[in-house]
Amino acid sequence: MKSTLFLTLFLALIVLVVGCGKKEEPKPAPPVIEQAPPPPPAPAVSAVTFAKGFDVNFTAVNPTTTFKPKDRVVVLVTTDNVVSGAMLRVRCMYVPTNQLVRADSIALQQTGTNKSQFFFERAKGLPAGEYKLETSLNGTAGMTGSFTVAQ
Amino acid sequence: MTPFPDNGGPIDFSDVTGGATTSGGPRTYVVKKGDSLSKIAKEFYKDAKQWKKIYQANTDQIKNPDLIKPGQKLIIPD
Repeated sequence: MKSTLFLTLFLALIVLVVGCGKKEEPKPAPPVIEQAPPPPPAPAVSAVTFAKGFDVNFTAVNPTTTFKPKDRVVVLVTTDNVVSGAMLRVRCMYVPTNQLVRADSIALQQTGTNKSQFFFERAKGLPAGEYKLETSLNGTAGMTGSFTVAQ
Repeated sequence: MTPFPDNGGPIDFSDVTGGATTSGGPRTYVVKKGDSLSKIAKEFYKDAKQWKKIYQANTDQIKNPDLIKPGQKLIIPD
């Protein structure tokens, strides 16, 4: 009888020790969702301004969208988020006949924001009418603008 | 003024001249008819007296500062 009691107590003790020693499985850590860094802002033409001149800071002097036939047409183009060497191209079209007046391109020198100047003129005068200017940056079409030549 | 052709035909734009410059690169200016160094200096520096600055940067192609020719491509120093 006594041995049975001891055996019972012993077994109970073992159950108690084993039970207490059992640790709960740690919960798995929540999966870490790695967020991709935001893509860099895309290079873009952010401004096209027409003027009769420009200063050392590439700021328009006498900005206008109406020119006389023998005026020099200055086009100031601002580009953002570009890498040095990016190619900026402009095309000027004469709207009434949908003809190409002139196309120019230039490799941008600075990474980030660049200001560029294009100009064109015609000694015997540009024909009156509406002109459209198209820009492209590394072959991707950008902002457009228009101006008028009037007497 | 060159009038728009009566027949609406194409116009010869091959005689249109132009050029391009960009920030960070050497700044240039193509002389047009009626320009003078002081006029160019006034446009770029807002000060006609700065013409010498342009002259000194272009002595290789300007022999007489009173005589610049249309089509000359001048360096405009900062």
